[in-house]
Amino acid sequence: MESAQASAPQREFLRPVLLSDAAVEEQRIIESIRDGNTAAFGQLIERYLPRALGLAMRILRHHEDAEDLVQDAFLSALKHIDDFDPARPFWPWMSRIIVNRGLDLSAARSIRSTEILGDYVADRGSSPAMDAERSDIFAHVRVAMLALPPRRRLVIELFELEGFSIAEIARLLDSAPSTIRWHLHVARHQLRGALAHLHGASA
Amino acid sequence: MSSADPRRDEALAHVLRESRLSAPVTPARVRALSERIAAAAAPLLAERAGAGEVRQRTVWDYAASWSGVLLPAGVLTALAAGLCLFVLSAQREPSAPKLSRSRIALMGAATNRVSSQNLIDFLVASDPVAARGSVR
Repeated sequence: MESAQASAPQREFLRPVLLSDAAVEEQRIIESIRDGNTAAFGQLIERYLPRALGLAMRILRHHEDAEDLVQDAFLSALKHIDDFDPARPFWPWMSRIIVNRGLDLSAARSIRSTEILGDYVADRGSSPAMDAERSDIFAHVRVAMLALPPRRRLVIELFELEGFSIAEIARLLDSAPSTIRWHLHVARHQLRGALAHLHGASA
Repeated sequence: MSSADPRRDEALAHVLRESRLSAPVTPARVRALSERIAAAAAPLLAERAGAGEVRQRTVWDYAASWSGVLLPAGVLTALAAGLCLFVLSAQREPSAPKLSRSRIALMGAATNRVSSQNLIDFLVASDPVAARGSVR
């Protein structure tokens, strides 16, 4: 539930049309940053940092690495802010920087293990046996997910958890929609296979 | 989501969500990172602010200082050029070529409309000044 709440702002991700007031405000912020306005850059950070960090965590699954990635992406955006067209929304541009750099980093540090995430938190009223079984299922899912190539894992997470369309993911990952569909199909197949194997073993 | 997209697998999404694949980001971490990014960006922003001042002096101030002179000068030049064109076009009225009477007489003789013996009389009658000059 907690993770669902944390990811709520990410549903705004890549939304093509901003509210006009928000768009105008964002345009003003970008223009001020171009003139070196520190407060405007602070506003930009405040506006996009949670989403950026959430996206970076999805790619790298490591707090420190994700934070480094986000910092690097913000500084890169600042360096190249003159190349950005302020008439367009900022987030798609920013998210593309994060995804491109994040996938490169993810490939480079493939040996390094990802953070061990918290175990399944038991529901009140569930029996220890049920908790143990559910915990086992989720552990298997985590292992199956981590076995996926980073790009494929990101595709299934953005589609199933964040609610992005195929076209949005294709734009973000700079791929053809058919390629994204294929990644999604293979990822689902592998995850369902892992879950079915688990059911078979427990039966 | 477009109609061409595959249907979302709610059961799979539930399992993925419950598996806590990415740890939640705490507000404290976000705040600390925000301060870190702002500190790292400060030199870049200061550099931009300095460059911005120079750019304003060289482009906008320059244009503003000269616009007071160049705009009236441009308007006056355009008015003067228009006036010159108007005067010149008025002076160059197309005029029919003026033929002297002696020339008319000579053309008449050449085309046999006037006989040669009557030419002098014709010239005298048509242009007394020219005829006087030719007799001398």
